[in-house]
Amino acid sequence: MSLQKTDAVILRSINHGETSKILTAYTRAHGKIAIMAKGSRALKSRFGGALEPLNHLSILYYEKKSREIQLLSQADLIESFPKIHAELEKTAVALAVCELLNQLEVGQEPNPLLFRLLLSTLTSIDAAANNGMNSFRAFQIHMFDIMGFRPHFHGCIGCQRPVAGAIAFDLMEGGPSCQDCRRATASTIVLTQETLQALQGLQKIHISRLGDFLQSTTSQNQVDNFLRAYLQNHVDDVRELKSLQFLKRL
Amino acid sequence: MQYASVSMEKAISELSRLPGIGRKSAQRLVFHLLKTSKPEVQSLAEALIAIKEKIRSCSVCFNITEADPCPICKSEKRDRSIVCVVEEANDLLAIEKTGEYRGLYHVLGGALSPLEGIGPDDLHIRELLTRLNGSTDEVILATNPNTEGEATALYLERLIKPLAMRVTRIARGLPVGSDLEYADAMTLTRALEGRVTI
Repeated sequence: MSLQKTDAVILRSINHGETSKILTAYTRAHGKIAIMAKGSRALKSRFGGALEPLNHLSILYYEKKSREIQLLSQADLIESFPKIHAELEKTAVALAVCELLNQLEVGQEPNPLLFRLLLSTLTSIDAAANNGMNSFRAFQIHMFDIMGFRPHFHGCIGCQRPVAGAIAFDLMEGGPSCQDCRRATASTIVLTQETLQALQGLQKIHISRLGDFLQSTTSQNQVDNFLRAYLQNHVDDVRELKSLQFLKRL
Repeated sequence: MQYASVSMEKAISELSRLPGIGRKSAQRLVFHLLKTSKPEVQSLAEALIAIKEKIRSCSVCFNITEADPCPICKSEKRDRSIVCVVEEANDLLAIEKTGEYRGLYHVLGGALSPLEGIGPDDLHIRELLTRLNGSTDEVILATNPNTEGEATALYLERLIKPLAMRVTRIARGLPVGSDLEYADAMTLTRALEGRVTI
């Protein structure tokens, strides 16, 4: 059994027994891990309020390769994203980011880029003047890139020529296809030029500088439909995000 | 391990379905019951059945009760101008134990949880808004100080504030008897935010 120290963001927390919690954390050094925080719900727990979802922590835990749930020893709060916790819509959007990351089979392989993207996204939602949905959209676009299935939005994926009018986007190939290059078996989604430009913008703009980007509701819906379809084509067993359904019910 | 007695196996299997009770604890309980006199076991069985047959939720506040409305809602001694909103009936019992609170309660039946998909329609929020009337001066939001509890408090605050009544949140911070030195940053921040003039 070895003692590990790493940065972590709490993705999910479930109560266990009388006073403990089992946490799912995304860590900088060990990917996604499950950790038991014994006695953390007790009034005088040494972990205090640090173990709530979305918190960025420095953790120390006992690792035993043979067990699935590791044991938390210490947790120090680095950032709690107070504005996310103070606004209900932001909380739901930030939890959608965590829920999506939790659904992905990222395993225990370290992925510092994905960890950094997670932190930038939470920081961006915290600072957003609106509910932070653009940060969630940008998170998905950049996540595709990090996970190795970056979509291309410039010209036909087959011949590189510009595509005019309504665009047939080949979800498996990851780019628009012109009439000459279109495969008969392709799973495609039709995008307007406006949506394509919005997606290009999201891919290009740094997540911290999103500001008022993508204000039209129609564009937002089309971008969301594309992101969903693209994700489902590249990742198995992606379920509807409960946090986003919650957001719609507010 | 399967027991020779089918009744014993069934009792162990049923008890081990209870929270916090594994097969081994269930086995210990069954052996204890075997040694106990029949009237005592009968009394236990009757008490368990009575829970299901007699206890229901109060139609006003959703507290657990045998009489509807519950004794708290019916009591003339209670201050009807204050309503304390809690997540579960257990929380109500904890507040009652203090003996400090003399107002009414409203049990939501849980908390909003984006990750579990629990939305406003899954809780007794509509019923809360219906019962808040001209005689209510203050609503105390006593949901748990965690992500779900805070989300619920934020949502309720948004709904109740326009009704022109005082909305308060229970204080969050250091537990009595603890050491400041060992408090985590988040708890200390909340304690400083909620400081009071003395």
